Amino acid sequence: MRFEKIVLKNYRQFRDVEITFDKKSSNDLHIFVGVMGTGKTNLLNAICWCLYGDEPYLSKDSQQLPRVNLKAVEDAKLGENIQVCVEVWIETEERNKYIYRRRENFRIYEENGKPAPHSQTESFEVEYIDEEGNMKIFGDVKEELQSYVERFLPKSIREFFFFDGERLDRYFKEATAENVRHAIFKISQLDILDRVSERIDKILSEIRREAGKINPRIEETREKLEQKENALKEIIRMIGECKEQIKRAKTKIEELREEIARLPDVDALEDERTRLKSKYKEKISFLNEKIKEKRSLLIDYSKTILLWPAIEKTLKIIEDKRKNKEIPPRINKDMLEEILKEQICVICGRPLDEESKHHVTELIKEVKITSETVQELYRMEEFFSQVKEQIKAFEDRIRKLTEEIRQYERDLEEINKKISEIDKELLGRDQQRTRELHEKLSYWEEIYETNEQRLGMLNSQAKNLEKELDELNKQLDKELKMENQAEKLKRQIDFCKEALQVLRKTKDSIMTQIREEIHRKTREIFFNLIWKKATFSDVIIQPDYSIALIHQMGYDCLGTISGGERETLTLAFTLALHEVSGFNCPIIVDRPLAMVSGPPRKNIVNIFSKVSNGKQIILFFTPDDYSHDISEILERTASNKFDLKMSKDERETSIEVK
Amino acid sequence: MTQINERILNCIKNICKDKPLIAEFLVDLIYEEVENPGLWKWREVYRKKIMQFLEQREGFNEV
Repeated sequence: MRFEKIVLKNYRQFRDVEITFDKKSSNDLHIFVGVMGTGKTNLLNAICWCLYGDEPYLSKDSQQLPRVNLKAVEDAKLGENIQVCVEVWIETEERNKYIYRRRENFRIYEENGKPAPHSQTESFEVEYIDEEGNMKIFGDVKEELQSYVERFLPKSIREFFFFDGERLDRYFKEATAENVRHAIFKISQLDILDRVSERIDKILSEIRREAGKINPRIEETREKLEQKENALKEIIRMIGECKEQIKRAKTKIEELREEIARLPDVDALEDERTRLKSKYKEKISFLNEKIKEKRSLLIDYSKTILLWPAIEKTLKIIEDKRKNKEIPPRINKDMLEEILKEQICVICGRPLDEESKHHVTELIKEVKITSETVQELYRMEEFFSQVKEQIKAFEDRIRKLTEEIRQYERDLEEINKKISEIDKELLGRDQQRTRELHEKLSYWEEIYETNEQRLGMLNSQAKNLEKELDELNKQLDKELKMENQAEKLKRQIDFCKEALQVLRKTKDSIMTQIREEIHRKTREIFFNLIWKKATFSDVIIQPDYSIALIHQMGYDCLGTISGGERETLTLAFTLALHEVSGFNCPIIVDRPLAMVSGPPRKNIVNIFSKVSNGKQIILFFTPDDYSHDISEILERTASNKFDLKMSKDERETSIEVK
Repeated sequence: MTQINERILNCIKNICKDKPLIAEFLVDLIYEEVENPGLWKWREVYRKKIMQFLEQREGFNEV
């Protein structure tokens, strides 16, 4: 089943537009490109309005405007009628056509000096044309007409065929199990079984009441039974409420956790700032110590430093004189005289012979300069050399201290930088808001916990009530048997009870069957579509309807996958639902790339292209989303590309086929 | 076009293998529901069907 044509007359941005979905290749893919406000989403609204009489995707701006085209209103005279009409042409696999046509008449009145449209009448009709061209129009009974729409696509499951990009992304982000259960329930048409059950149940109560009129004992038991049944219904309602609260709390908790994760951890930042400040203080005190040490060293050595040029010069003079041999060798005259006097060498202890005595005497004579002067010169040189050594040590110490001081200064600068970064991050950060978020999180966590506990309690109460009901039913049976008059009614009651039991069993069995089938299909389609085949090992829909995407390493990675991967999983699940439900309807996605960025964008459009071989796919893009790389992929396979152009006065959109 | 999920009909028939009249009764009601999506006199129809199928059952002596 596919859309063949959509005709729009005076519907919102569309004054007079006919869109024909010709299938020009094996791919039934149709692309719409238009900037925001040109009416892409309103095309989806037009289809919904025509088929179901509502416009679920209206933007806030559009909600303020009438359905009728504003240009048509401007051009109309006061008192004139304008008709809004949307036609949806559906082609079945058997080449039959269904034309759904909804019209709304508006009359133009004057309001505040301006023409204003007022809705007058609305009509809906269905035209059927068989493959031989025989035509039949239905338009009398509203319910009958609506049943023709329900045959094409039931309203309750249209949400699995018409999507916006945001929903595709969020589908498996929040209350997953509830979404899956809801989808399976809707797609299986189990709501019909529920409706039948509910009505048989009402009839059952009425028959019991009739039986109660025959005998007061029967009436007493019936009343008890009804009370217990009502109590059970109330508990079931409370269980539903509890589940709803749990679902809401779960979503809120996830949202708040995400928001908190995006905020800086103020406490941690405050702690870090305190730590850095104390480190700063410590370093500053070390730095001051070093500066003090350097200063006192400089004071200690100030005289030496001041005299250092003179000392250096003196040492140079001594050195030069030594080089010029102006200074005699260093002979100790006193020592020579002592050797001569004692007649023993003071160095080796040998007694002096005559030759040695003569030699020492000659040596004493040879010393020209007075020994005191030379000795003084050498003492001076020795002292200055020691001073030179001290100066060298001083220089080393000063250099080391300077380096240490610089290092401390660099450390302090670094600490200061970190502190100001933290300050910057904390600046303007509403700590109150962070606190509020934490408070809200605790609130929802408490709601979650409380409801989980309450749910357990309610489930056990429900079980007990079911037991009591069973007992009362048996008692009522007994009493009815004893009463001949009630025999006929008892048979009706039994019949109803049997029918209800079959409906319950059918519902459980179908839910299980469909879940298992959708599980198999989703897995098959997902692995056929996904580009990272080696990353994931399985897709599982559990008996409690929660969905798990198993990473190759064995853990469930559904919460951490990218937008593109999540969209692929949603698409696989949707296609599985379509296959299992038997409704082969087109898929329309408004802005499929709205929540996807980077390379997965190409993968997503490749998937749509692939799926369009066998299923009609209609995609709406903004020019930004429809970048060159995307158009290259889609235009290879697309049957049509439609460009939406807004008129200069922004009152009308035209559609060009490329 | 699929009007009622075939699976529902088959499942009811399977569950009611020994009670074909109950199956027939429920399938009838399901069709009534699909064909009457709006307001309709369901109470009368349900009551009538209960009586009709009960009589048939008693006639066939179905347990």
